[in-house]
Amino acid sequence: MINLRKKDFKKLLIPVLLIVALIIVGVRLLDSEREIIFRMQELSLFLPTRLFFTSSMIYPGGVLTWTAAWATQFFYHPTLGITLMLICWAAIMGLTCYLFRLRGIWQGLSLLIPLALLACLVQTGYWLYYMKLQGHVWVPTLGVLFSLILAIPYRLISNQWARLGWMAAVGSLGYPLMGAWSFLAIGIMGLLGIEIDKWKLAICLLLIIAVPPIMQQWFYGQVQHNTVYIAAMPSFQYGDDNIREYHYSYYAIPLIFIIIALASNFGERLEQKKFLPITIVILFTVIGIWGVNKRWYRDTNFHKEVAMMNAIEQLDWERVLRIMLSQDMGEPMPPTRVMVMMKNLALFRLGRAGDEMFRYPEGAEQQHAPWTVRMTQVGGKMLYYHYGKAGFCYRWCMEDGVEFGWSVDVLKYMSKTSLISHDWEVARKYLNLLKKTRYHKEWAERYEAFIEHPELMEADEEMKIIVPMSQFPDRLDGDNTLIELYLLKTFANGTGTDVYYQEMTLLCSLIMKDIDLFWPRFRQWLNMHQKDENFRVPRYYQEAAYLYIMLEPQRPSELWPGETNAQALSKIPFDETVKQSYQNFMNFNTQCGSMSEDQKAVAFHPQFGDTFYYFYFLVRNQKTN
Amino acid sequence: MLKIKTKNSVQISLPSLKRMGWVCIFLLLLTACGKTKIPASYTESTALPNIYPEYTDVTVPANIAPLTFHIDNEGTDFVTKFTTSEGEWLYDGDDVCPKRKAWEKMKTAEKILVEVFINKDGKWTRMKPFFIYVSKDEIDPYISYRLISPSYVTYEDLTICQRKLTNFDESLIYGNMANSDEKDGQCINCHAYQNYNPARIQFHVRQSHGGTIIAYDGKLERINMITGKTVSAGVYPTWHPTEKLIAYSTNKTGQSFHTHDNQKVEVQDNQSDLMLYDIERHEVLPLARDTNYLDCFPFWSPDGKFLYYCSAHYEKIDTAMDITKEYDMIKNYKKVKYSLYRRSFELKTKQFGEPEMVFDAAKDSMSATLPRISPDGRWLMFTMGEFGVFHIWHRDADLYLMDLQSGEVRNITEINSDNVESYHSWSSNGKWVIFSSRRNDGNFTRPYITHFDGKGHFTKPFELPQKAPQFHREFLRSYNIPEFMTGPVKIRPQQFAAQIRRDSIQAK
Repeated sequence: MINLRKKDFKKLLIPVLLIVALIIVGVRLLDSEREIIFRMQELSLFLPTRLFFTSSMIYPGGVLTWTAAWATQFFYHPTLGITLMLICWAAIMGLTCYLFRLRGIWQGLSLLIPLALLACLVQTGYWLYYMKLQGHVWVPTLGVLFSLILAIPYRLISNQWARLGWMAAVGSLGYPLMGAWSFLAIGIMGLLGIEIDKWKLAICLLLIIAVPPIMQQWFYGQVQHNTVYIAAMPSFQYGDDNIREYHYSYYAIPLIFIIIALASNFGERLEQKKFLPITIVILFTVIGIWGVNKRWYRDTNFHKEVAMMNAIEQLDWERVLRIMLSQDMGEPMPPTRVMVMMKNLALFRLGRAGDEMFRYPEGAEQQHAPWTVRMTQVGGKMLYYHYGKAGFCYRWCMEDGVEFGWSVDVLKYMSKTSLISHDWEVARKYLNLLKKTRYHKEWAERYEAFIEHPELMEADEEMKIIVPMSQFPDRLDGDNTLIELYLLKTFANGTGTDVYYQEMTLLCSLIMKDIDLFWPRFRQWLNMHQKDENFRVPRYYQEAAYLYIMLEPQRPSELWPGETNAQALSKIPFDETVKQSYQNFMNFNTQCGSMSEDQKAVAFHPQFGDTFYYFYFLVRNQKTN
Repeated sequence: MLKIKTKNSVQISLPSLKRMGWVCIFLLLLTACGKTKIPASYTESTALPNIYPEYTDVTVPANIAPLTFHIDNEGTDFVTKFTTSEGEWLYDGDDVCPKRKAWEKMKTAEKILVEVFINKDGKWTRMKPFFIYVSKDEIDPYISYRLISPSYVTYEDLTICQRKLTNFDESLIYGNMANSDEKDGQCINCHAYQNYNPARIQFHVRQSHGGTIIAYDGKLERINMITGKTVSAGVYPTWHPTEKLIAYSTNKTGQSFHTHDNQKVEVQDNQSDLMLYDIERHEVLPLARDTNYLDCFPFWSPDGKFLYYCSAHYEKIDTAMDITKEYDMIKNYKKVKYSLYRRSFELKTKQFGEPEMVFDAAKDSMSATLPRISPDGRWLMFTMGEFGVFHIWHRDADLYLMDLQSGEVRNITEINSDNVESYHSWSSNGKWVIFSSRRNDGNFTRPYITHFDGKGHFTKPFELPQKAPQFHREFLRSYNIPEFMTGPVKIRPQQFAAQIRRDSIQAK
C-alpha cells in the first residue's frame, strides 16, 4: 500500500511541478505585464460577425487568426486572459506528453514549449503597436495547440494508408485553416516515431510542399507568391529591416519538438544512467528559462508609457503622475517625449501645470526598439484627442487602422473625435461596431448617449474640456508626423478665448521658450484670471516673466504699456521665492562659470532642476519623434 | 448495446439517446415549419418603416439581386409581406432577405408592394406600405470598383473587385497584397474599360513594380508611362470608344488636412495636364498647356470625336517669392474652381483642337468636375461643388445633368443628398447610372444605382444590395470608381500579379 502511494506520488510529482511552474509564470506575467496585457487587447479587435469571419478567411490561416483574435479579447481582464492562456499551455504540455509518450522525468521537457510561447509573448515590446497579424498574441499558442490536436488522430489511426491520408489532409486542408502552422502539425506527426514507408512519406511531404503554392495560385489572390510558406506567422520586418532576434522564439518551437522526440525515442535507454535524464531535463529547462529571460522586454519606459496610457483612458490623472515618478524597474533612464507629454497633459487636466510641469524628469529618450518609434503610433492619437485636435486624431486612427488593422483603441478614438466634431452618423457606425464586442459594449453605450444629447458632452468629465478646446477655426494643415512639435506650434501661435485653450497657448509658449509669444499670452492669461476669487499666478509663469524681464529689461513692457520691462518690474508683485530662486540660480551660474553646458546641467539639477530657469538654459535639444 | 458513461456515472443507453435525438429533431422541424403569419389584428401607421438600406419606392432593374434590408424600428417581432400579381411572400425577423427564387418571381411584376408589421410591447402595427418598382430596362451584369479604406497616406489591402449584379458574388480582379510586403508597398488605382468591355481593362500600380497594366483582348502589358514629356505618368484614364488609345490626365497631386472640418482632407492638383497614350505604338502624346491651367478628368464622347475634361485657371495669389504655388493653393483652396471644357479630336492625325468651354461653373463661383457622357451622346453628367477637384471629400458635392442639345443644366435633386455625391458611370444602354455617395455616414462611399428615363429624369436611387442587409454598416472600406461592365474580367488576379512582376515596357 505504501509502495503504491509512493508510486502515485512519483507519477504525480512531475505534472504537479509543471503546473506549479505554469502558475508561477502566470503570477509573474500578471505582476509585471498586467498593463501590457490589457493594452494588447485594446490594440486588437474581435467582432462576432460574418463579415469579420469572412475577412479573416481571405488569407491562409484565417481560422487560426480569427480564433486568436477571439481569445485576445479576454485580456480585457488580464487575470482571465492569462488563466486561459495557462490552461492552453497546460493542454499543450499534456498533449505533448501523450503524443510523445513522455514518462517520468522526461515529462519535464514539455515545459519547454510554454517557455518558448512565453518568450513569443513577452518579447513583443513596441511591436505591440506595429504588428499586423490579427490576434498575434495568441497565434503561437493556438498554432501549437491546434497542431498537437491534429496529431492525435495520427497517433490513434493504425492503418498506414489512413495515416498518410490524414497527414496529407492536414497538409492541404490545414493550410487554409492554420497557414504555416499546419507544417508544424505535419512535423509533429513526422516526429512521433511511428514507422512509415519512406517513399510514402516522401510523396506526402511533396504534396505538402506543393499545396501552398497551388492554393496561392488558385484561391489566395491576395497572397504574395514568396510568402506562402510563412502564412499566419508574424512578420518582424520594419521597412527594409527584418529583425531576426524576434524570430528565435518561433524557431525554438519546432526545435523543442525535435528534442522531445529524441527524448521519447532514446529516453528509456538513458534512464539506465541514474542522473542523466534529470540532468538533461534540468539543463534544457535552464536554457529555456535563460532564453525567456533574454527575450523578455523589460524596458522601463515602455512599461511606463503603457501604464500611463491606461491611466489616462481611465482619467486617473494622479496615477499618471505617480507612474511618471515611480522607481525604474532596471537602470534609471530619462523619459521618452510621449511620457513627458502625458505628464504635461495630466498636470494640465489637474490645473497644476503652471506650478508643477518642471518638477518631473525631463528627457527625450528614444524608445528602445530596432526602428524609430513614432508618436503617431504611440500615444500621439490620444494626445491629439485630449488637446481637442479632433481632425488629426481621427486621421492617425484611420491611418493606423488601415495599416496595422482595426482595433478597439482606434475605434474608440474615432468614435470620440467624431462625436466632438458632431459627425454623428460615422460616430454611430464606430460605436455600433464596439457594441458588438464582448467587453466594450457598455463603453459604447455611454458615448452613444451623446449622439442624441450632445449637450451632455459639456458636462462629461472627460469631454468638458476637450469640446471647447476643439472649437477653433478650421484650416488646412499637416503635422509631418511630428505631433509634439505640431501641438506646441499650433497652441503657442494660437489665440482663443476658451480658458483651457488659452492656458495651453501660454504653456506651449513656455515650453518653446519663445519670449515674443509668451508676453501676449501671459497678458491674456492675467486678464482672464485676475477676477478669480483665489487669483494667484502659478510659479512657472512668474519665473518665466521674471526671467524674460531680466533678459530684456529695455523691451517695452507688455503688462505696463508705455514703460520698459525694467520700469515695470517693481510694479509686478512677484513671489519672493521666485526672485530669490532666480538670484540663487544666477549666483550659482557665476560660480560655475567655467563649466560646459552639459556639466552645468548635472551640477544645477539637484538645486534648480525644478525651475523654469533650469529648463530655459539647460534643457536643450529635446528631439521629438 | 453501447453504453455511454457520463461524468456523473449515469448510464444512458444508445436507444434512449436515439429517442432523445428524434424528439429534438422533431421539435426543431416543428419550429422550422412554424409558418410566418400576418398578425390577426394590428393598427395602421402613417409612417414608412425605418429600413436600411432605404429601399422605399425605389426602381430596380429586372436583373438585380434581391433587395435585402434591415428594419431599424424598435420591436420584438417583425413580419414583412411582399405582394405582386404573382403571389405573396412572408418573411419574419428584422433582417428581411427575400429568397432568390421568390425574388425572381416578384420581379416579373411591374411593382412589388412591401408591408412591414412590427410587434412592439405586444401590439402589432402595420407601417405605411411602400413599393419597389421593377423596370424592364436591364442593367449591365457586372460592376467593378476599388475597395479602399478612406485613409490618407497609408494603404494596405487594396483590391479592385468585380460584383455580379444579378446575385451577390464578388470576386477579386487584382489585390495589391499579391505584390506587397513590409519593404515594398503597392498602391493600385484607376481601373477603366474600353466601352464596358472587360477584356480591355487598364489600371495603375504605384510604387513597387509601378506602371500601368493594360489588358487588351488577352494581351497583358505593364507600361512605364514616365517619359519626361509629361508632369507625371498617366493618372485619370478614359479609353477611346473604338481605337487603341487612352487619354489620361497627368497630375502632381498633394493633400493637406483640415484641422477641424469634417471634410477631413483637401486633395489638390498643383499641376495637371492631359495626354494621349497609343496602346499599339506605346507612345505618349502630351497635350500640355500653360501651367496656370489645371486640366483633369478626361472623358471621350461616345463617337470619339471630342475629349471632355474639367479645367481650372489658377494663378498664384500671394506673389511673394518665398511662397510656393503649392502653399499658395493650400491657403486659397476655396478659390480653385473648375469648369467643363472639350477639345475636338482628329483620329487620323491624332491632333486635338483648341479648348471649348462646355459649362462655365467658375463663373457662378462653383467647381465642376468628372464629366461623363451618356452612351447616346446627349446627356452630360458631372459633379459640382463649391471648390476644388477632388469632390469625394466635399460634402456639398452634387451630381448635375447637362442636356448637350439644349445646354440646360440642372441639379439632379432626385438623386442627390445633403452629403457627398461624386463619381458616376452610365450603364452601356444609358438606362442606369451608378454613382458614389457618402450619404450614409459622410465618410464611407457606397455605390447607388438610379434609373434614367432618357428624358432627363432619374428615379430614387437604391444602394447596391448585399446578402447581409447591414453589411455596409460594418464594412470599413469605401467603394471607389464604380464602373459598369458587360461581363466579368476573366484574367485571374494571379495572372495580373505575375505580369506586374515582369519587366515593364517603356513608353516612348
